[in-house]
Amino acid sequence: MQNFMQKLLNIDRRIIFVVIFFALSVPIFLNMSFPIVVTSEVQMLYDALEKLPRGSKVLVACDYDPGSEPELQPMAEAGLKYMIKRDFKFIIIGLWPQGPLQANRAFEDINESEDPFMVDNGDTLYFGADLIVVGSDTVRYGIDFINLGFQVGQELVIQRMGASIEAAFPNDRRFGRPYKEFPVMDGINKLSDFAFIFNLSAGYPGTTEWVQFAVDRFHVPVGAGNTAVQAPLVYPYLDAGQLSGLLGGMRGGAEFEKLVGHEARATLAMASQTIAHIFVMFFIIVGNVAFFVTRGKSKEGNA
Amino acid sequence: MIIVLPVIIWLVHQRAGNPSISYPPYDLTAMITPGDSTGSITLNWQTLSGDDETAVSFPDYRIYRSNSAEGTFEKIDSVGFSDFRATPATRQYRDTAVDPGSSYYYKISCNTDGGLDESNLFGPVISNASEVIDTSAVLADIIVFPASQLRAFDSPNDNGSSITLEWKISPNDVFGSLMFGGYSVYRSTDPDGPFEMIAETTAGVTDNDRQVKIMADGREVEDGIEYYYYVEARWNGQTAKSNVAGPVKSGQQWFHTARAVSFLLLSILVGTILYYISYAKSGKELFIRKIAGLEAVDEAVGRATEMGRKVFYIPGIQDMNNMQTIAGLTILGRVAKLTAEYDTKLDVPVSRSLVMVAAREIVKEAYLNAGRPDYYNDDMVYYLTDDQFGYAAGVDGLVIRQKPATIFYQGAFFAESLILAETGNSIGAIQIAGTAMPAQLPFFVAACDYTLIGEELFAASAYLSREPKLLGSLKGQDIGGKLVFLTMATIFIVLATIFSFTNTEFVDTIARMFSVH
Amino acid sequence: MKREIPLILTAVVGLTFVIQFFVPHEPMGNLSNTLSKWYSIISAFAIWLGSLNLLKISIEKVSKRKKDWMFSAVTIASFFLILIIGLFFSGGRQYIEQGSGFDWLYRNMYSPLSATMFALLAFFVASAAYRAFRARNAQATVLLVAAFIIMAGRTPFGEWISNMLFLPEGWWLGNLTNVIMNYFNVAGQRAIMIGISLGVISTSLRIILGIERSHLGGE
Repeated sequence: MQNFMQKLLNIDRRIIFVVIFFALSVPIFLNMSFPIVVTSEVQMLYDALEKLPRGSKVLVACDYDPGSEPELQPMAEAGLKYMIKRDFKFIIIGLWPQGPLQANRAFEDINESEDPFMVDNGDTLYFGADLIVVGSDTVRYGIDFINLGFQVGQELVIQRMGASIEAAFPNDRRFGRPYKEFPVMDGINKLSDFAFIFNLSAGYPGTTEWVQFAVDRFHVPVGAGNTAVQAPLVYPYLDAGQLSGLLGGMRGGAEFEKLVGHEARATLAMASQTIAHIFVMFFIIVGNVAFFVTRGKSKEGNA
Repeated sequence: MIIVLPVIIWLVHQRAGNPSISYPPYDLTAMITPGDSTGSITLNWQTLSGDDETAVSFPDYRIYRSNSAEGTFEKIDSVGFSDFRATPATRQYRDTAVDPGSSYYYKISCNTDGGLDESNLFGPVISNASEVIDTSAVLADIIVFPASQLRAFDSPNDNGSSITLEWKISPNDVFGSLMFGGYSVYRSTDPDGPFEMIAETTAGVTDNDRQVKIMADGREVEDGIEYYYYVEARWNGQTAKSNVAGPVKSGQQWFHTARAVSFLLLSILVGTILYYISYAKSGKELFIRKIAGLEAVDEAVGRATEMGRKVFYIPGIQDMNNMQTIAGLTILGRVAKLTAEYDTKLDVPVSRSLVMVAAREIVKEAYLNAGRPDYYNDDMVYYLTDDQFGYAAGVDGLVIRQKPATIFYQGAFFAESLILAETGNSIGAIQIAGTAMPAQLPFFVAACDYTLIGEELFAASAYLSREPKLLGSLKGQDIGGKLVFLTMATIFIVLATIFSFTNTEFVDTIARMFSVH
Repeated sequence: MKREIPLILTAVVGLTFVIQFFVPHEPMGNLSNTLSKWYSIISAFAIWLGSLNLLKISIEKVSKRKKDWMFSAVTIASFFLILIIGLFFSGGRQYIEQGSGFDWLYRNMYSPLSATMFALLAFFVASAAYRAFRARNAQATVLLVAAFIIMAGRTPFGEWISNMLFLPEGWWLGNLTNVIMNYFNVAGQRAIMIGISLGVISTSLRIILGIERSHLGGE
């Protein structure tokens, strides 16, 4: 018994890895689901978006890469679907080079049209790139949304946008044309012309920088989606009113999906997370039991 | 000083304020009915609370009119439950019994229990039958009302070429309205026109606290030229013009008044730090508490020497513009000096090109100072990739294959922190971490032997070198920063707590005072 | 001189940046924009510095058949694969668009590889938690209890267990989680953030004044 406990205490970590692997993967195949309760920070973000009038221009800052895709991509998809439904105009940028590519992937994934393309006035328009169909709404690149791409310079880019968007993002991503040519950019000259900033962040530059520059200096409300690792860092901004809502990790994504009525990947993944948490807690209990049993014994031995 | 300072901050803050836009009870406005050839006048006001489509017993609004502001007001009509509602939040009444050319003043009242009785007085409105826009047009049921109290002023604290407009939104601009199309902003250099449309904005307010719409016009505004503006509200195919604001000129400012409080606080901090630097230079002893993680540096490098294995140094995944990277590199200098003295192999894989260049300089200099320049070669510091997880994969691979005895993680880390530290832990390396990323601290604490928490990382250079000037700056930072700021924070927190029961506006002011612009 | 010029440059640029924060008037007004463009240009060129170094070291390892040279061979092959496909076989400017060669590599190689690395975190968190969360003393016990509440409270499991234990609503694990995150966590984070900010200001000042020189390779 004592030996067993001692072994348990110094268990090979690969055993833990295998158990976690099954805890994470099995629920996905079993299609398990758990009820999701919306937390206040997610509700805050949703309420802030609900308050915006139709036609509002929203900046979507994609500051993440494929590494954090499992957590942040569902938020991007749910957010874009919601914005299309509410008739918002959305402008994509990225302070991470991979961000705007992730946005392109989101366009394709939320597009519901079966056709690959259509021809309009002699122009070939591709679904998932030029046109996005969500339910009964169809939005068009350049008119309802645009992808301005990536710009190097981290938080200095935000600062530059505060003075002039054109200085930071002279051209759009898809066609490389001056951004003034696109009707969606009408009336957008500076950061403060946006009604809201929806930031998806996996690190630096990210939500902290958007709060420090966009909120504090240029007074544009920012709502954010963060990876679970990153989320505790931005909690202080939430409480201080500098951040208008937060989606933290997979759970935040699942709650947001519930609110916007688009239950998808994050909701599905919550089952895995729940089971994995239970196993981690189980491990901690086992570790502590082993710890106490062996400690009691070694004390006796010493005496 | 601690008592005087809040007062100074308060005074400095008071200088920068905004004139407010008024919201009288009912918020009554009246104007000539657009598109009506008879010159009728339409009144618009906010519904009182409780007045909605289900409130059958809500008392009527009584409409009073007079020909002069001081004259006797006669009741001309009343509007009640069954009457037409312009929007859920506004009521409307059209006064058709008017003589063209006469001027009128209006007010309304409503007898609610304990509610507001009388509205603001609105006038004069001169009935003008020539205000015909299109006589053939069928008059709409609802009249669009304009934005009001439009104000144009030079955008404060900027480098010119910008004018800020703010206005009270139109009564028709109700949240969620599908009819209200937003505002068009017109500009001219002549009050009589011609005006040119320069921008369109959405409906709704921009500043929820003050309930105003704010817009900055930066479209080819030239400093020193006088501009005039008006705003047009668009509603269901109708439009309504606001008052014309102007003349207004844009200009540049020499001092950012909204940052005055920041300036004051920064001056105090810098002043104290400078004072303690000169204090330390004069040879006074300064105490610095023991930092276990830094004490362990020698032992950790020594262990690698005994085992004949490498020392790995990871300076974070951020570039040279991040203070944490710089702080991390100062520790690298110390570690490199030790590895030079002990003739232990040092590997510095980095994720930024500029960090690679800087780290090479530091390591080279350290080897030179240790009298071992021959042991140094450029390949000790090498670049892997800028990509976060690519870098984590690269370092993990190196750690597993080369099994270093000691690993330092000093700098800015993100989600890769635990991936790196657990791998190091699995091969049994001694690990000393240091970061100012609060979210990563728990991971390092769990997986490393020692962790420098936040400011300890920044203090490392002073701690390791024991140079008086550097120690002085630490002391200044503690006195100027922590003592003064935290005392002031405590004073304001106590004030805000007390006033949160009586005067919440004061609490908002305190919050605004310390917001950075 | 080799030491003085960087110090003077640092001091001048540092002070200018501080001044432009408080002076909106030209020429300060647009200075930060101009300088941030310089920074963009410098960091864009710096990418070459790193890439060439990576190639140099990798090629050296392969050509001299040093230990673990196969890994370097993979590095070189991947480097040129994505570079050549991105530059020449992905339709120029439209290289990130759907269907381009670069896009294919991004989706089918880069994305899964990155996500895999990040996903390792789940496994490492489990093993680190197993080791770290032991009730060794009073402080460690507090940490353990807080971790337990949050792990349970963040999942539907928390509601289930709260119901099982007949906890009053205010004491549900989900609510306790919110309290811990919004008050205890925020208070701690803020204290650390204030300390860090002061550390950053003081370090910046030391660098601007030239007292701190170790980042330039000095003592």
